[in-house]
Order: sequence, then C-alpha cells, then structure tokens
Amino acid sequence: MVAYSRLLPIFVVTGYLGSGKTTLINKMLKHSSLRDAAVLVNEFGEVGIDHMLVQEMDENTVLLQSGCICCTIRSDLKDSIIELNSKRESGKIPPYKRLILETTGLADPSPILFTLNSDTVIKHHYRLGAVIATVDSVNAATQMRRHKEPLKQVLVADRVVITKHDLVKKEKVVALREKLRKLNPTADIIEALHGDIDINRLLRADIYEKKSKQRETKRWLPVPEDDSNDDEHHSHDINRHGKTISSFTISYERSLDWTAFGIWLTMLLNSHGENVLRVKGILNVKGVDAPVIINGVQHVVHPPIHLNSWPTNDRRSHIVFIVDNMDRELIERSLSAFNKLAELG
Amino acid sequence: MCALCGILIDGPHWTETGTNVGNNQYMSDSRSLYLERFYRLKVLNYVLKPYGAVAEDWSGGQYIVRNLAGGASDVAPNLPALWKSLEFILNRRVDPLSKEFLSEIEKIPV
Repeated sequence: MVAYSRLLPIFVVTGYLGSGKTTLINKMLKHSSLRDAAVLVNEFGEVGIDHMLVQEMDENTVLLQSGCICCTIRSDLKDSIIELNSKRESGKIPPYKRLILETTGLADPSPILFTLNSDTVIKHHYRLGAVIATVDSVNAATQMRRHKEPLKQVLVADRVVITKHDLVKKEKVVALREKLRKLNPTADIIEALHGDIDINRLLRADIYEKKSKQRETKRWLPVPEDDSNDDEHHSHDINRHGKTISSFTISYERSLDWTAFGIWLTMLLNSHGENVLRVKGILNVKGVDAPVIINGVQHVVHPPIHLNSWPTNDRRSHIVFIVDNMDRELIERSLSAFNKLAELG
Repeated sequence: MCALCGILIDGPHWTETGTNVGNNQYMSDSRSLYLERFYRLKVLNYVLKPYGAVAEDWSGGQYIVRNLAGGASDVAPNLPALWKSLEFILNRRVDPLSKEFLSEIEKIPV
C-alpha cells in the first residue's frame, strides 16, 4: 500500500452562500506554490475562477442502502475526479499535485468526504488534505441558527476561515470566533479579508504531512500538559447554537488495545455514525511506541497515522468528540468495557 | 475479485492495516496480519456473545457471522460490513452504548 502521505491531497472548500469561497479560492490559486492545483467546482457562480484547470460537475447523488445521508455517494464528484485523474495520467493536462474542490453553499460536506473515502479508484490516488469552511462575519450567527448546512460545514471543518470581518465591529468577530471554537474545538480558526490568508497555514500544514503533523496535533490536543484531573472546561455545551450538539474530550489513562478500539469504533459508528459529527484523537496504543492519530467524520474514518513523538509529556489517550444528542458517560463506559475485553485475549 | 467465489475484494479496511497506514513496521508481513486477524476474531466474539452470534474467518479475507439461535449467517469483508450483517441476521439493531449490552460484556471476568 502506498504511504498515505504520498497520495494527492484534496482540499474541500465549503461555506454557506455568499461566505466568500470563490474569493478565497481565487486568492489561493494566485499563490505561486499553488499553481500545480486543479479545481473542481459545483457550479460556475457569479465570481469566476481564474485558473487553467477548472472543471464543473453536475450534482448527482446515489443514496446507499443504509439510508444515512452522510453515506451518500456523490456520483458526480466521483466521475469528475476519476475523469480528471485519467487526463492527468494520460498527459492531457499538467500533472497537478493537489485538488481543490469547491462545494455549493448548500452542501453538507459529509457525503463528499464519504465519496472520497469509499471509492476504490479515488482512495488509491487521493487523500483528504483538509476541509476548509468559510464563515461570513455578517450573517454567520443567523445562518447557523436557521439552517443546518452552515453549522454542519463548521462542525466537520479542519480550518474555519472568517471572512468580511471589516464589515462588523471587532466585538462581533471575537464573539463569532468564540462560538466557532466551542462548536469545533479541533479546527484552526483564521481570519481573512478579501481572501488574503497565510496559504501555508491553510493548505500545506495538514495532518498527514511530515513537517506539520506534530504541530497540527498539538493545536487540537485538548488537555494542557499538567492538567491531569479537571477536564470540565473541555466539555462544551453548545445548545444555544446547535440545539443538541455538544463537544467533549474523553481522556483515557490506560493504553488502548488497537484491535479492541477498531471493533469499538466501527460498532459505534455503525449505530451512531449520523450523530458522531466529528471524532479526532491521539491514542496511546499498547505495544506501539509512537502516538497514533485517528480522525473521522460521521461514518468516515481516515487511516490512522503515527506521530514521531508525543507533543507533550501527557501520555494519556485523548479523543475529542463533537456529537449530536449523545451521552458522554455511555461512550466512555463503552470504550472502557471494550478495552477490558482485550485483556481476555 | 476472487477467481473462485466471485467476491469483490477492496483494499484492507483501516482496522486491518495496523496503526500507521502504508508504512507500518508493526505489521509488515502477512503472518502478523493473519495473527492479528485471529486475535480480532477472539475479541469480537466476546462482543457478539450477548447477541447469541459468532464470527469466523473465511480464507483470511472475509468474515462469516452466524446467529447461533436461528442459524442465519452472512459474509462480510470488514468490520463496518460485519455490523450490518449482524443486524441483518438478528433482525434488530446492535448498539455498543446500550446499557443492557454493556452490563453483559462488563460481567465477563477479566
């Protein structure tokens, strides 16, 4: 199997209508280090993308047997990526090194991630780089209250880009930033005016790149080095924004058995995948010297990777959950029970 | 695709590739993967016990899951598919957060 880090990264740019996705992409493409990117867009909008490799796709979806919306195959996306890949392989287009995918403003990103992770051809050539969500300072709070899509886009994002912050008072941006941090404590929140942004922070520092994975993990690692017993402040009740959505961190003292963990997580996602909006963790796995990183969105789990070393002196496993209407204590109890079964093995 | 049985074989699931996909020194050979597979079945069968079901290996590439009470069985290529198969042969949902289920597996003496 090809090392996961050597696959071409796909960056999914999502965000509600008018939140500045295309402006951001245009700025990104002007950066010299991104001239080797191809772009797939859902539609050619009012703001055009000025780039050589832009392709449009039609929105066709195939709902899988499970009936869960996050396990929907986006056949349009699948076909577009495979077609683009064939052109790349046959030399009809330049050999792009990364793919940027712009979703519609009304898109739930989960089916896109499911498609990237489940198609045999795609997953042998590409990996997910990061999900980037643009959030409009002026309208974000209202949009997230009224519609589920902008909320979902923020919840599954690895980077949240706050746009148009020149149009509102500073306090409003601070409040929005705090709200976003509570909604998704694992995401990097960046402000960008007219698309001006640190490209390296946005694209190049993803968790699967050797140079950045250590820093990236440390950023979302929830527990400070010397904090051993009080994790109350890592549990966020964010009912005001997402009604039943909450985020919390499970810290586990004992080393985890990888096999039991795999059985547990697949069983959990089978029955509650729709409600596990995000799961990210740094694990202390029995028999493995390096910390192991897991990263999942609903039913999709990306392949695990090793960090070179522990980011802090804390050797406990920490798993961050963003869930909809789920009981933290039961999750904790269930993980512990499965891990103990491994001791029988 | 398996030339004998016609089953489509995808790449290994993330639960079966060790803990560092693509460059894993911990599970580099097929023997280790096979031993890991049997260990997985052992742990899995503790989980399946409260449901009256059992899982077996099929040629190192598939799992067979059986309902011991009703005799129904199904074939699954990986763990996510196995849970779907289990629900199919039991004709009910399985839930690792169910208090009844957790009480059952917590009773197993370590």
